[in-house]
Amino acid sequence: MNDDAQLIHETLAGHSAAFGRLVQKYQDRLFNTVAHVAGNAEDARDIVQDAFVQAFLKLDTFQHSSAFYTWLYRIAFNVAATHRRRRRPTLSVEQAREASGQEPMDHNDGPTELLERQERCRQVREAIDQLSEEHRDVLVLREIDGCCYETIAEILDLPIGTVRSRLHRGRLQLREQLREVLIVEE
Amino acid sequence: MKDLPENELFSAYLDGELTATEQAEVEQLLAESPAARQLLDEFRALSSTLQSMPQYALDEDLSDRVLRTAERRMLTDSERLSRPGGNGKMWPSHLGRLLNARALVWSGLAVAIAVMFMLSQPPEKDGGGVAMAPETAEPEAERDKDNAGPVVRAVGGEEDLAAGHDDTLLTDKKAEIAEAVGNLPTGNGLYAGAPDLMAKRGAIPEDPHDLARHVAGKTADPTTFEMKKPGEEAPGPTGPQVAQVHQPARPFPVPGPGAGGGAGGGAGAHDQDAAGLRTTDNGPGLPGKGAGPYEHTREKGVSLETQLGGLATIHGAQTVEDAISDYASRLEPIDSAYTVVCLDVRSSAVANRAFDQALGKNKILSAARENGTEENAAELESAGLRPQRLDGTRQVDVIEGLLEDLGNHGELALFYVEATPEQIQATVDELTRQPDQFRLLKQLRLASIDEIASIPAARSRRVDHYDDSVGQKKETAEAEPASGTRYGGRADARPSDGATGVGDGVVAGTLEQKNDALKRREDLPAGYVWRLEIPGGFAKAGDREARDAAGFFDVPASESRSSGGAAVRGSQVPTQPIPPPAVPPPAVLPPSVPPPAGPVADSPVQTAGRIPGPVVEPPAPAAEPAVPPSEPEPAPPSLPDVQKDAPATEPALPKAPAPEAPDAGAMRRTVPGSDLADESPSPVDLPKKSEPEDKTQDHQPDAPLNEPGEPQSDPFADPEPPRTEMLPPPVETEGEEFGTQGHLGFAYAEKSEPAAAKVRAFFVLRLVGSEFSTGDVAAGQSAARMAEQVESSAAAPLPADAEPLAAPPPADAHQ
Repeated sequence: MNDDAQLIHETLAGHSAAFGRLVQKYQDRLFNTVAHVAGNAEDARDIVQDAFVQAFLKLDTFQHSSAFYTWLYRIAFNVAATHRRRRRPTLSVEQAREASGQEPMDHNDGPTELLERQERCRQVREAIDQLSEEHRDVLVLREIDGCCYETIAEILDLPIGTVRSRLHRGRLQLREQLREVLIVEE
Repeated sequence: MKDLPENELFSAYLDGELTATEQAEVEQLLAESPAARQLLDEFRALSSTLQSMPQYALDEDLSDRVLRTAERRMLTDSERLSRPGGNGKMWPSHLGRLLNARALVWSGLAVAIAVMFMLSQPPEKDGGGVAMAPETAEPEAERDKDNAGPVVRAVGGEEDLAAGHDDTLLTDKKAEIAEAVGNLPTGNGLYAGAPDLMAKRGAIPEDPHDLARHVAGKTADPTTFEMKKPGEEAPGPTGPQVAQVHQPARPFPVPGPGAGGGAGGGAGAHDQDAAGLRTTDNGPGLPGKGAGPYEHTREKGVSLETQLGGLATIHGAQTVEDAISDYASRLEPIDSAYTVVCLDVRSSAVANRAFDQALGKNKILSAARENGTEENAAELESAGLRPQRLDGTRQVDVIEGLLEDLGNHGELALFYVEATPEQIQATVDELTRQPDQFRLLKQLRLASIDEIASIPAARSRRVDHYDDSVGQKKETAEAEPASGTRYGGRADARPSDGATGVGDGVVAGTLEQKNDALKRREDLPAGYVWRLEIPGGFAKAGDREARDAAGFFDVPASESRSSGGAAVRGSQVPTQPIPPPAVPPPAVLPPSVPPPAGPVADSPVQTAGRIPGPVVEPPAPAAEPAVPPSEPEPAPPSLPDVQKDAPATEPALPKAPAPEAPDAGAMRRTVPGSDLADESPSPVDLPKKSEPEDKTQDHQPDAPLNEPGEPQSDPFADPEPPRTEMLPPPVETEGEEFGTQGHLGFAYAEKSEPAAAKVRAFFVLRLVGSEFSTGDVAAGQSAARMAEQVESSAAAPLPADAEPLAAPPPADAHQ
């Protein structure tokens, strides 16, 4: 029995603190992924929290047929999808930064490098935001979270062929939008 | 095989997700086709870029919150509580254990309240239980006409809980909880301001049974108590002299199904004796005591939390601070500026009505109650100064979110106040002069959307507003480009500085100045915030034509000069107005300040309006600040320390005619509704020395904003017209390059207090039991830091006698 399974077992036995350790274990990873999907940290925080809450409430339905984090991610992406549907459509390209209140920053850089780095990151986030949801989800899971195709397919409940296709098209779109950035980096 | 670039095998090849056959196929193509190799290289670069992105990280451990939320969700899930699952068990075992004794308390309490209500219903009231209130409620207009007094929502009915219930989002649950509990009246003297006044005016039956019927017959009011007299249709205009208090929300979840919470709260809230020493439970009541009134037993050492039914546990002030700061940092600007004041309150203060008295002394709401005469109340009514309903629920929602964060750290109450800044600050001062009763935790001022939108920065971008309680974007202020505003190079912006909700930024004329400004952007004196102006939005390399078209780059290229390759061109506005902490505000607030020395003083005027014509350039910067002359001049002020930052080694640019604007470039203060883009410098732009916000500097002995003898503004005067105070004029520097990509704009320091005559404030009161020592060790240790936070926020300063905050009062002070 792996760590996750043990913690799940303890949780189901009534030790809710064990679930707290699962939260601690996965919250940052999930938050990072969801933040890129949702486009801002504020929404991501709510989504992640609600995903954990739902996972806790439905933990007895977890079948252990997949990894816990895959199951958790699936919940989170469903929550995120619901969240997106409930939000007003927006064209704001500043959304990710202005709405987040959180700016991923590398404080080790000097001011100039910091500015440029932030600017580059902002461009990338804008480009990701402009992707369609189906392409963004797949791309974020692959590039940001490092999931394999099979895991992505499981999380998003898609055939692997669809994952591959969406990932490729998402990359093509992103390449076009970030062409200048990529060229500059070269 | 598909043609490039549609061949998705390349993407899978990059990811190592191909079969052996497919991989061989791709490798053959790569060997033959340069285009294929280029595509793969681009994909690799893309992956590298994406994977090098900084990672978002939560700044808190969600585990506690997750478990609390799960518990809360279970408690409020009426369907599951009332209808056990098909297998006969209500919850899985791991969830059942989470439902602790507190849940049982809630459930029993709800039943008790329901029984009480059933017994209290008059025979003529069919189905008069609270749960039936929605069905039996009269039409709103009819109700408003026939019933005076506050409208209190009866919650707890199954329909009520089921309506709009969605189990998918936490935010939905938050909204549901807020809706369910947001209308419970509060009492205990401390909270009894509005209800007390209403009760004295006959708005609320003092008999609990009558009150129960009263509550049951009322409709939902999502936000506030509202004082209404028969025949009133809508709240009238808000008068300038008498402030109002709304009590929009009670942050405690209503447990379980059935008719209970609202009614119980209503029943207990307003039953109190005249002496004020005997107060009643406003909430669900004591376990085992039902919802009836009871007497405080503080003298017996029972904590208020216990008396209130164990609603919450205090875990320590440090956590509260963190929660407040965390939440404030995530706040979006909303449609109206408001102040949030968070206080710890001792139970003795509750019993003594100290908060009510502080409000009353400052003529907030209780002008009538202060003197205890109905005549005053009548005067208020005749003057149309009755309390006003909130325009919307957004503020409440935002505060609800704050309370959500604080909800498990103590008994909380929320007061919504509309008053002048002076009144609010005087109230805070009054409270903090009673260190044995109150402890100021936090004082924040959150900027309004009007303030944001009134500056060019906001016009150049979209400002989104979120209803934080439901996580939905409520409004987007469409920004229009700030025409003609001269930008200041490349700016970096952060979305919020927490205390103000206003974006800050950094910009520079030269690379060195930019860097220096970036380093020092946190060094603004108290009461100032950074504003960021991005007239043209995002501009890319080589997009000069677009920039020129936007009117931001009207400088001939020949006048440009290199500045290290960074995107530097234009004014160095932000570097100029940044006074070091020790620099008194007069140095940045004209006209009581001397003309600036060095490049600032000699620089041409720069206004927010369009400035056609050639670019002006700065003279050689002075090494030392100029000595301020004794006579105020219309010229912009100098910022001595900032002058040192001017690049003394940089060559001067050809001079150009300076646009005439005596006050231009001075520190800008925006007022909601002002149209900066079209404003020309005028005398009205000169700073008003008697601005209420000047009081925010009073705590800085070396930084008086007003000249001695300067008359202060009448706090009750009509709002002043919009005006703008400008920072010292920007110094034009030119950049040969505009950088690769980046925002082009400038940032400037700005006084963050509003000029409005009346502002909104939320007093968040946390009850800490019989003494401050309850879990508040950290509070004493961090009091100094809290004081700094308060000072550095845009809110008014702590009073001079606020020092006792640093030391918790003796434990036996109120025993």
